[in-house]
Amino acid sequence: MLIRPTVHDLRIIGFYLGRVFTIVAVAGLLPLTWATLGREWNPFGSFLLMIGVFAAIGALLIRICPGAERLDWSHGMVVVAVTWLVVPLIGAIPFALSGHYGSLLDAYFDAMSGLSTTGLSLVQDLDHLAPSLNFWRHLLHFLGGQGIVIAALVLFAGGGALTLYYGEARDDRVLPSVRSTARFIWAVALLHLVAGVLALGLAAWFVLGFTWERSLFHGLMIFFAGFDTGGFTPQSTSIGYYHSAWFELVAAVLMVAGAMSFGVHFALWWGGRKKLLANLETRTIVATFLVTMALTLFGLAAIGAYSNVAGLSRQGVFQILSAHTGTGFATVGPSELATWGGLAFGGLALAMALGGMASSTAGGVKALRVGLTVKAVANDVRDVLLPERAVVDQSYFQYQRHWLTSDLAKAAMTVSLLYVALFLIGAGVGMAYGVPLQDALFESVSAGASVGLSVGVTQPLMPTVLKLTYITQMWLGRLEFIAVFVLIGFLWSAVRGK
Amino acid sequence: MKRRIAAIGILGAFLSVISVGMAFAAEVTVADLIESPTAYAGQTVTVQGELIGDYGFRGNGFMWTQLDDDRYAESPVVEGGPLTGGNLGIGIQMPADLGEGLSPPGGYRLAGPIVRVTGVFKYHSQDRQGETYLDVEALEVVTEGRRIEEHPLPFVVVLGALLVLVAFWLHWSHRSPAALP
Amino acid sequence: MKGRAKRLGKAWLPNLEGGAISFAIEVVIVVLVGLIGFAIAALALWIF
Repeated sequence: MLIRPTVHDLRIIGFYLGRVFTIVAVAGLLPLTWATLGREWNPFGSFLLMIGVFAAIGALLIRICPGAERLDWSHGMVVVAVTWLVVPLIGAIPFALSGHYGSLLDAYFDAMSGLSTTGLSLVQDLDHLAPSLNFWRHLLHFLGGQGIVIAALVLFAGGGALTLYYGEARDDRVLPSVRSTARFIWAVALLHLVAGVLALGLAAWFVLGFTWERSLFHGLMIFFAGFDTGGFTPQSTSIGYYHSAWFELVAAVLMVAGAMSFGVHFALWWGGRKKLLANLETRTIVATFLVTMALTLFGLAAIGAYSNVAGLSRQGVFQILSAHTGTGFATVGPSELATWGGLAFGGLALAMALGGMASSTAGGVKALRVGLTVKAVANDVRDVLLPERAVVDQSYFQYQRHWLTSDLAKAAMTVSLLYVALFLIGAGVGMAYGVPLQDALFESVSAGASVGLSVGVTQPLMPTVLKLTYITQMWLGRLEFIAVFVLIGFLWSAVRGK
Repeated sequence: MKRRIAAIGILGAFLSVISVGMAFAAEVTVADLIESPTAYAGQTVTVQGELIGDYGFRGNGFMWTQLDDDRYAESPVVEGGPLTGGNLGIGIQMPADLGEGLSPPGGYRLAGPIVRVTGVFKYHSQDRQGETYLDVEALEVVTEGRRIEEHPLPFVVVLGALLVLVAFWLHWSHRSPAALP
Repeated sequence: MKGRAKRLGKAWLPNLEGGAISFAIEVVIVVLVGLIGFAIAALALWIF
């Protein structure tokens, strides 16, 4: 029997949503200030309106749902799901009013792409977009990226059969409380902000010869998009705009940092570094990365895309790093990327689908799940092959030894399959509109795994249903399905429950 | 005297060869280069468009920038121009002296200079580790860059300010939280 | 581990040395990736 959620449940959810909207309203002060300093009055007005809507709704919710009670797991999931649905809606106001988007849906698409750290974009005439609006696009990556890491560690961990962290696989136990966890995440972000913006800015100034203001601008934008593995760039030709291997190198460091889990950052920072190499997740991602890189490079060599080693390695390695970390930066344009067929397509698509580490801003199935799935399958196969009396080691190492229980294996496999289903359904919708299979699959994986690399399917004239499909994929993929399922269950029981 | 005539003759022949070569430079759009890059690889082409973004004087005698030849140069969005899709741009490298004195590159409320450039289309260039760009040898300014005016929407500012005030009021008018039933 | 965690709970703050090391390791990873990629690319071009 379905039990209807009570007013009490709604109040808790409402209160925390109110808090989230208020926080985003405060964050909106940053682009507002930027617009003020730059005397960008149209964006200024639209940011003020956006802040007003966030602040008013937030204040209203806090007012009618008083009392900071402890957030239950399912309440938290509903808050997360609604946040990633509604924040882009209101956050799209500045985009919608900018005149750079063909429709309200296009503006919502970009806002969702920003917050989900995907990076697919429907913006038009990006090269003439106001800097404060560009900043807001990239800030959405930062808010969404930092937000999802905290949500993943605090909420996705524990409770519910489909979470990755069912049972013992949590790596958030290194710090004693949620607060210190959140603080450490911000410390990591701050370190990379300072180091990253400095490195990128210096590269832009010394190597590229940009003015210092533009160096700082590009540095900041690329930091947000790289470290939060988002993929938006301030100009229309992505990272290809900079025509610089040095710039790509620094961007690559940020991408790698962004795809690393919180636990890895902690170990790198505080010690216990050697143990990382024994982790299942580390070994999995190293293996999948090497394999997909090899596939991509061999594929490119086979089609004769690049005739010298320097060219093949620089372009191939950057794209595969971008794909596997789920960033979505590109040094080749979409129409050229579409020609990367065969093995190269396989390598890139697989890398995107597999994704980065869990509790990082990267998307995809995620390395820990991939590792657990492979290990579980391998164990089952060995069970069959070996004589009955042989004991198969059913454990795995992730910071310490854990049991690979059948529940954990099932959880990992179920979510992995859900991602595969998501990618295939998205590809199916694309194909229904006449997009060739390879392109449809590539774009679908890119959307569902929060990557952002495009082969040209994503463009303002694409069918509305396809836009809605990718938006849904970005939402589901970012939240690893669970939060959305909890929301749906919540709404269903609100309607049908007793 | 004879030497002088010979020198002028040689110079004249040299210049005619160059101008004939440039006259044979295919007139292309960025879209052509994107669609059929191998067809134009290594060839001298002429493209016309707006310079946008940044002028990167790299200190090695070259300047890098990007040329966009979409409709936005002539009809900026901010002036109410139509939306015609994404930008169509290509990176260009030119001798630094060609880049000096150009009006600022296009951006927000700024239309960059519209130029005609002629150069070799480098596709997956070997000496730049696979980069694709236009190696410009000649540049001609067609239209100078100009500032663009934007028309603000006062209604939006007023509505936003009102909502912020509402939010403040909701937060602070209410001293003691209502007891939950 | 408990004591360390307790200590860290209070003193999570800038261990700049750790931060610098972690950033340096990230750079090393990217350089390694580049070198391995270069080697694979060379092999790939030799084969094809």
